[in-house]
Amino acid sequence: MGKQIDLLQGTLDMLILKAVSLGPLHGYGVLLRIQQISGEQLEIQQGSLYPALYRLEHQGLIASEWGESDNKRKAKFYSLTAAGRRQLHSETEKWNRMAALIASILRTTSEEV
Amino acid sequence: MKLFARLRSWFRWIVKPRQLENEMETEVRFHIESYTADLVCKGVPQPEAMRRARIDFGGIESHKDAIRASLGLRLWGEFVGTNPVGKTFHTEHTEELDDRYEIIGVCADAKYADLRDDPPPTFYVLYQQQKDARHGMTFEVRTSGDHGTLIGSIRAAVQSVDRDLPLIDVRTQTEQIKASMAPERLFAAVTSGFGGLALILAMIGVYGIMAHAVGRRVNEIGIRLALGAQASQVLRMVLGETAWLAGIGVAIGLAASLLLTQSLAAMLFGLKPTDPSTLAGAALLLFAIAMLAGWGPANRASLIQPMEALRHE
Repeated sequence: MGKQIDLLQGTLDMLILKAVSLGPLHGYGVLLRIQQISGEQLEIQQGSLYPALYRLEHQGLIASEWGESDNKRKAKFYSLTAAGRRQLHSETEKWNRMAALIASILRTTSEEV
Repeated sequence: MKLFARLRSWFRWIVKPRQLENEMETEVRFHIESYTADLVCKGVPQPEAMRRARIDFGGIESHKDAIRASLGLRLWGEFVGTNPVGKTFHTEHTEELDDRYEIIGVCADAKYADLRDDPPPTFYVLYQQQKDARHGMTFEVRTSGDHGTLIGSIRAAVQSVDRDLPLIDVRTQTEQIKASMAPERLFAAVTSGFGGLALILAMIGVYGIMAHAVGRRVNEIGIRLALGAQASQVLRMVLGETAWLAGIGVAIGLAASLLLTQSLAAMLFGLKPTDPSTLAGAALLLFAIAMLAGWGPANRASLIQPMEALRHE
């Protein structure tokens, strides 16, 4: 396992949307899925998870429903709404453009300027 | 759609704060228990797993607090339907300092910076606990006697605390209220003055025009009367013409004021530039004054003697 890196500011919302877009999850599940997809390399502050979930639900980007977890416990499951899907799409696009831009800037050598 | 979700969310927090608080608690506890169970699966002994889960996750209350804060609910959502006295909260500025305020009482809403604004969410801090008094402090002193003589003793009291402490901007509440309302009052006085002046001018104008018109038509009116017209018919005729004149004036005035008062909206309080009763009142007043001004000439016209009128030329 490589060294864990902290999450860039402002990207948690995007990752949550992505995680629940793959299927409904409870809060702890969101955390596990993000860590699993990232190959355990991403460290998410547990303290910022629930405020983000409630905020996203408040914004209508995700919806919640009480259900039963794998271990037969009552748990709140989050799923993506249509508005959330659109948001995820536009955020992904924005992120890709930004990442490509930053990467090209960082690649620049002195001859090119 | 998003707006709807937001409204529904707010609504739920207002109507069912208790239920949501319970759900929040259940959800956070589920998280900790799942985390603990996972640690146990990885071979961590149960007590150690529980300890680690609690440390990694942090306090349940602080989580709930953070959730409320993310929804902007910290101040009131938390306290809806409960007695807030004895509870604590912190603000954006004190969060990092870990400073919390304890609520010791609740007071009614009051206007704060501006009389025109709705009361903002406000909390008052004891002045003895105020850490930052860079911008000075305002003291309110209540007296039943002459406030002029009081200033000396107030100054002495301030000097006894600190000789270098200046006492500035001493004023009575009446003066303070007057000062804060001064621009509005001045504006109201000036515009009322001009309005009154315009009304008098309109009255003189209408009187002049109608008197002139009647004067020019003495002959015609005399013939009408000689041919059997009643005095009251003449009166009605002249007043009718006055009414036309006034009506046209009022219509033009209303149209102009609807256009011009838009730029006045910022000076108005609790009143729209298109306030129907104000406009109707002004129009009615103007109309009544015009009719009053027309009454004199009309009355004179009705008193014309046919013989004198015919000899008039």
